[in-house]
Amino acid sequence: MSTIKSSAENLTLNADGSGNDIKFQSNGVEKASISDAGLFTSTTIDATKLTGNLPAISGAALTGVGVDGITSSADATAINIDSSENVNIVNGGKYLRFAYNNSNSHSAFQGWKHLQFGNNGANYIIGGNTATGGSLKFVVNNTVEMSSDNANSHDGTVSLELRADGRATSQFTANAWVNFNGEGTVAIRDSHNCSSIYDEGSGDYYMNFSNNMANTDYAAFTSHYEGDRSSVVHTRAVGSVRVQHWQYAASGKYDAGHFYVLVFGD
Amino acid sequence: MKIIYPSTNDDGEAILGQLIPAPKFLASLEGTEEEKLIHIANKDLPTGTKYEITDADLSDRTFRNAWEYTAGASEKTSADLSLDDQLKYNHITQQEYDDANGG
Repeated sequence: MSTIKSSAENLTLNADGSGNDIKFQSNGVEKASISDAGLFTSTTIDATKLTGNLPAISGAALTGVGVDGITSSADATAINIDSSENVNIVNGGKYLRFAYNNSNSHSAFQGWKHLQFGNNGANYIIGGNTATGGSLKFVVNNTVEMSSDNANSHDGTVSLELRADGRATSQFTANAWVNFNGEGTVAIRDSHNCSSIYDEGSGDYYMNFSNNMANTDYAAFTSHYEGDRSSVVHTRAVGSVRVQHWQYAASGKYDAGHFYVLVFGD
Repeated sequence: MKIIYPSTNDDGEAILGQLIPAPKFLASLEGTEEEKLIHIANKDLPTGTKYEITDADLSDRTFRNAWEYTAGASEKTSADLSLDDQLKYNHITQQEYDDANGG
């Protein structure tokens, strides 16, 4: 065995002259080199022998890294896992897509058959930034890719929309309701999408909506607690509905102690 | 606290209207109670309606249909809600706000 070594002092290998590399060969074949710029090149590196920290390496420069079944063409951080094991889909992408049975994973409309969450009975919070008027929409019968910045880029039907103003609008949820006392000190007991009521005389009231109805084709219902009386919807407007409470015997409008209004529609 | 305003019945006779705020809606607003009531007046009363904010006891409704509105010293006039307030309180969407601002 031949050895090149120093004795208690530095050992210098010098490829003299500009542009010359230091080369390492085995059986006449180059296995590694150190260029004049300091770049170390090797045919293989035994990772089990490495210690210390790796330098920062651009993900774009890494190849063959990862596990089977996961690919990435990201050029910035898209997913991170923090020290509390929270998996974060981070800002930069627009969509979190689930694709099923389609080679084009961007065809989000072919979503997984089932999207499941499990947390041993605990509640889940699903929310979006609705602070500026956005909403959460549940769309059925969509057949196209939701690929633009426009949240309405679908050809399906919004069956339920949870709005920033607190309403859950659909054809099957109440758009507004109120329970109020129309006797004595008139007061609203409880309500939804109701900003106020007008008291315009005995048994004559308006329910004002916090957020207007889309049109006047909505269905409004009214009822009351007292017997021998009737409640009627008098006039529908996009911002309010006028209701009245009548007493049969007196053939006149009469204050209602428990008066209810319920509104369905767009 | 409530809002009173002049109105007319179906026969065209002058009557007093009461605007009773919904507690949940009131709680969603910011500001003093008076500022909240002004917001509701601007939102629910037709623009230009004279009104007053009062805590008067109006629980005796024996002659309710004969009540009439008389202007007081603190009378106000309802105005349109600003676009900023409409957006802030989700009466309009960001898109509607942008459209209204020419965006």
